[in-house]
Amino acid sequence: MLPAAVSLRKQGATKGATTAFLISTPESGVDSIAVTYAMMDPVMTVARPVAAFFTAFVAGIAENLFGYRKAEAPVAPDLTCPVGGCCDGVNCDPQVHRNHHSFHEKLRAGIRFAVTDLWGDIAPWFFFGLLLAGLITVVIPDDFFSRHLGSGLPAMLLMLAVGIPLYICATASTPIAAALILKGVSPGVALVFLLAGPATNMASMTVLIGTLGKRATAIYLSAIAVCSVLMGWAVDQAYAAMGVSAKAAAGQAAEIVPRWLQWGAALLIIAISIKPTTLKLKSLLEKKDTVEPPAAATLASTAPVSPLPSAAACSGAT
Amino acid sequence: MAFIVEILNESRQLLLDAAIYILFGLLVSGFFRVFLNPNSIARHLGTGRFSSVFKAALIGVPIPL
Repeated sequence: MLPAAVSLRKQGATKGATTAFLISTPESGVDSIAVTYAMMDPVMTVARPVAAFFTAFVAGIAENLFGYRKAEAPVAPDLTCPVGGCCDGVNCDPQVHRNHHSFHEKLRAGIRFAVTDLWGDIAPWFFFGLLLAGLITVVIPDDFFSRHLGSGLPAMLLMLAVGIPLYICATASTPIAAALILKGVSPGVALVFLLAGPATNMASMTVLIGTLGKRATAIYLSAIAVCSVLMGWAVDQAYAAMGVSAKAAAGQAAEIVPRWLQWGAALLIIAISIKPTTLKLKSLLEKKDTVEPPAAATLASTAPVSPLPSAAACSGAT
Repeated sequence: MAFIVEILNESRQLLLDAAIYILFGLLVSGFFRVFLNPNSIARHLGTGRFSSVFKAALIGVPIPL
């Protein structure tokens, strides 16, 4: 996420646009929307991207209201070839490059990107999220959150306090939120966690201060805090108005999938997760010696100005 | 021991629920990257006090992390 922010700024995006992209990208994605549909319910599936957009928009506008300068550097978009790296966007015309790769090649490159880069970053955290969700389900009594801090402003503030310093990506935070809802946490409180968890973490704050400045970082944080709570409150109202129980509706999307397909997909997920997860565990064990995990360093060097979050996106290391 | 097995069972159930949806989300994200080339999005984010923010917030929603 942060290499993306730095490169967007360098490419000439306004501070507000950089901030907005920096919030809506981690808070929502095609993958986390799909997972939300599977583990939670249709209302939450819509609420998450809408809330992410709202938060990003408000934060970006606030940024540009306070710190907008008209003469930003001219935009120099990165046109590096996403398929084979055959072209850096300067030495070849986009119109010419369009014919470089066949449809089949592009399909393969897309799948390779999804499996290695994207899932490679998410996988270790996703399994961590699954285990934590399992632990919550087993350890916490079913009515625990309906009696203590399951809903209302204090619970949302608690979620902010947990979510802001923590870094867990949108996909990996979903099972945790689903488990909390099953234990009686209100959907709005869970949404605060789903928004604040992925958007911020301790390590990213220092980089943000370096890229955007102190005031911009303060605006960024306040916007996330205020908007998350607002959206959480709105979602609770929406559930109440529609008479939907998030607890009862959770995970119903999975019931239409046949058992064999569930198992096939799960085994495929495990197969593509083994390599990135073992690498991540290894790098965690060796972390005392190296500042940066080697995998993230190489990825970052191959795509130095890509605004697409690829390197170390879900690792929380940068 | 039974406790650990119980946790793993719950985690497995969640994985089974979500697996096919994860694969779908990953595939769509991968095709996004190759066919729409999000690398060039920065070109839209340089001008406009409000429109640049609107576009950036909107583009970020489907792009995964």
